[in-house]
Amino acid sequence: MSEAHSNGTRVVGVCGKGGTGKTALTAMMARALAESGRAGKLLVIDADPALGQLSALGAKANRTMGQIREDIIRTARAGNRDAKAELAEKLDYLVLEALNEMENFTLLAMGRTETLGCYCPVNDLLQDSLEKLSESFDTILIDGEAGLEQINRQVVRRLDTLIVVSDPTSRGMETASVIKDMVEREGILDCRSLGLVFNRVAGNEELLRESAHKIGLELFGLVPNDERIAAFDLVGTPITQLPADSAGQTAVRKIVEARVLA
Amino acid sequence: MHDKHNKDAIEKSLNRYKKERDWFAFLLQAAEMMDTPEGKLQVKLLRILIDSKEKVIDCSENGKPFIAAYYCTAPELFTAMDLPWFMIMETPFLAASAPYITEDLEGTEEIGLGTDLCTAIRLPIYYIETGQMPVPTAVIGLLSPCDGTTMLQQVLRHNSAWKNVPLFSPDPPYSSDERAIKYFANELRQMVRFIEEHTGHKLDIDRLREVCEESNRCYSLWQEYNELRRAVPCPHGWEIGGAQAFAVSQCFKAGDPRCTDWFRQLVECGEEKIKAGRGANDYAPERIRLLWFDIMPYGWIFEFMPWLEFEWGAILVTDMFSNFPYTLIDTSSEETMFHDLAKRNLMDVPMIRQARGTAENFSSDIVRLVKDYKIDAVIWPGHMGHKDGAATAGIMRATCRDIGVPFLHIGLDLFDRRYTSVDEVKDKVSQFFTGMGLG
Amino acid sequence: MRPFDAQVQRVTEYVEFMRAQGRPTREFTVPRALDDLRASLPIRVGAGANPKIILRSETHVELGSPEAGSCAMVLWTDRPSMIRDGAITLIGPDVAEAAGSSLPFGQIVLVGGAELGPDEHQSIGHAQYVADQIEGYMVRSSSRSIWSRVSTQAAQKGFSFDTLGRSLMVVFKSSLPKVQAMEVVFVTSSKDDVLRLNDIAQVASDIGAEIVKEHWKARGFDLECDLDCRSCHDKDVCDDVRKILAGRLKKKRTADAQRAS
Repeated sequence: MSEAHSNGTRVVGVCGKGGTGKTALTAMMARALAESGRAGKLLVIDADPALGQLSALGAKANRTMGQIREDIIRTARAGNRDAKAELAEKLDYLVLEALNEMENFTLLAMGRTETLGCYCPVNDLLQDSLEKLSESFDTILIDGEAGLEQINRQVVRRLDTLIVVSDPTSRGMETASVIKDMVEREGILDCRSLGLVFNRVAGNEELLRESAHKIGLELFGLVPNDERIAAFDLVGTPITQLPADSAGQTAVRKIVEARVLA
Repeated sequence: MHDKHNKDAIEKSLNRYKKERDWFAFLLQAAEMMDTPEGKLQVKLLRILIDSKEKVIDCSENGKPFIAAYYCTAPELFTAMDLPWFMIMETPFLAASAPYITEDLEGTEEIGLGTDLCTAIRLPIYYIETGQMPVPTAVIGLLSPCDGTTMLQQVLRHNSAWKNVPLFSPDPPYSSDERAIKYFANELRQMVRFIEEHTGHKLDIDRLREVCEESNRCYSLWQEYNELRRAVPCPHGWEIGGAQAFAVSQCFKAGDPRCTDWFRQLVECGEEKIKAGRGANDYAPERIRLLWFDIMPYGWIFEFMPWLEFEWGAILVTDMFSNFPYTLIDTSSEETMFHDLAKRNLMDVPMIRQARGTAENFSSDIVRLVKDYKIDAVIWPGHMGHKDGAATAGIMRATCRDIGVPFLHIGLDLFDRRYTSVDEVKDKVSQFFTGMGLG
Repeated sequence: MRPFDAQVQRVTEYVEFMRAQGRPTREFTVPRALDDLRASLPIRVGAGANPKIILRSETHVELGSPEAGSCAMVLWTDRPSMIRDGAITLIGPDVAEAAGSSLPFGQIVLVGGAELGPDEHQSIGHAQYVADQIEGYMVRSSSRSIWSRVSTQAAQKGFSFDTLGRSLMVVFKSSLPKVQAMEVVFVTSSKDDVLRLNDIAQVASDIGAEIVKEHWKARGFDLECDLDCRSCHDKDVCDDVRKILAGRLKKKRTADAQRAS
């Protein structure tokens, strides 16, 4: 496991099998962090190529890191020397322009790339810029919709906390187990604390606790099933507009208090 | 976790290694009875080999530093640092014909290792997992030329006895240009720092210069010997020169004067035979000049190679392990030494050179070797573990067709006779020779 | 097709440069027709002309060892007029002047033929490795360079670089009928002079590698994995971006160092 980020920024990642409700959970975590008053300046990074967090958080579409990546590739390909020099100078501003300032937090969308090809140095460059940007924030929350490798390659290489989300299905838990292996055995991502959150729980809590124990993941919490989340999702209402005392939001708040802010 | 002070664990880890040493000691006894220049060469080689094994045993038993490493990780550096080392994959390459190997191969299956995994990787994994491999002070890992080799290093990380043994794997770049060489040179420098940190053995640049100059002399003689094998008839067959030359120059102690002396004797022996017009052996005249384009079938070499010579007069004139471009190490500065060691180990070392690519290496090597060595037939054994090379079988076949030389692709396991029986291989080769009007 | 024309020009410029630097330079003009070439030789040339290998003890002079330095290339064009057919240039000592020594060796073969194209590229390149085709001359089996030996016997028969040049012309013109013009340059003056040719050789090698790659592709074999940065058309993009990143990291390190102090 890693040491804390040297500048004191707290970095939290959320990942898990597709369809387990990560986006909604991350949105609820963002709200819990912002409302706690203890997260400081909060940056939420939406690593979902489909920009799921935008609607979950009620944000408008802005430039994405993917688009900035396209700009870099375009300039490096066809730009003259001055254009390339200018790129070096204004890269950090481009990234700042991609930030979406909300009331209590800032949102940055990774988006996706259109250009075929590896362009690993471009990822390195963006990651460097992102690292610089993160120094201005006290807490960073990442919705790792596209998986661990994407977080490692394009976002950050170290996390303080990685929350693996599963729903109460064997497939969800299988994925959680694989993620655990990837982190602990393969070292895909460096993180200090790793734990499991069951989402959409409707009974069988003891069984879920046992399952977590069986796959060797610490259970961070259980988030009860809330029909309203699905309804909000359906019509595009931001998850942040859930009542503060909703069972789901309450559970998430407890997890944030115990596992992120503690 | 491997306890350095646990005598039982150490003894167990050395049992098989000592058995291998004893196997070579037995071969040495047999070689000492041969009163021929070739016999004397075998004796010298076996003594060097046994000596290197004794050093590893001594280090393991007495808590002295030693490392596990590979032939393409600049072994001149280990010699210069006076650091005993052994190759994790030693057994398949040196002792696969030992009588106890079949039991070990069955053991690999008993512990659940997939039979599609290259035997050269499977055997070491078995030894590691069953505690039958000496646990070194540190490991230099190998990440090319094949996925199997890379995976072997991962196994080390998950094994309870090995996972806390410090491991450094020099990172081989994809390309083979000047930038790649410089990159790999830097990897070698980091490797040296790693070894110094974990073993306490330091690298002295003047000593490295001496070792590299000795290695150059060795390689120069090896090149000379390779030329001798172009003679018709070829002065030596499968059992002398060839892969032995590779083992002496790379596996035992690169840059050791004893190795240079062995090569000197090898060249002199070859020259004498050429001047006398003598071929590989006096009772089976050379009828077919073979290019065996891979390593030799070490697992069943004694059953197959003599048969090739006596039955068909087929002399293995050259093989993949014997042939390589020659990079002289420029010893004028530390920088040039690391640069040229990087070049040699990244681009020249046999098998690495071909397998890491590009596929054009297979084609261009075949064309050149066929021409230079007057080759009558090319055999690609098709070792089950050489899946990387398997992809080039079509290119090799097309190349051989272009230059009008017969090509045979067999499909076998170089180390395990159970995969394709020796009789079956003999049958295929016989049909090939007959069909091509050879011999 | 003229992939090597620019390099042919560079060879001409190289020779002029060497001449201007005062290197002893000799020019030989030899017959162009194959039969006349053969007839003019003091040694045999053709398959099996040198059936035996040349041992160390039988060597008059060693050429192009790794210690001495070597550079060899074959450049072809479909404009025979670019090539001075029958011209052999020697920069440095000849065979007779180098008994017992190990000379640096540069060998540049220029061939021209109106019908030469990428399909002939590999055959042209391989032709320079003459194996046993030149009596008293052995090219060692070293894949990256021409490292060769002239035997004492051949030297006694008058083997010189003129002989070698003519012999190469016989080998090339007899095995490659599409070759209409051929010129050879030898460099034995110094290791530095030989290694100076590496710039041209590297470019030629890169061009040749592309031709070979396309040749195999046309036959249905893809030699290279697309993940190889070297073969990526956008390698320059990544190189530029790397420079930008390096600049940023350098700035950051300087700033951190200043803060620390």
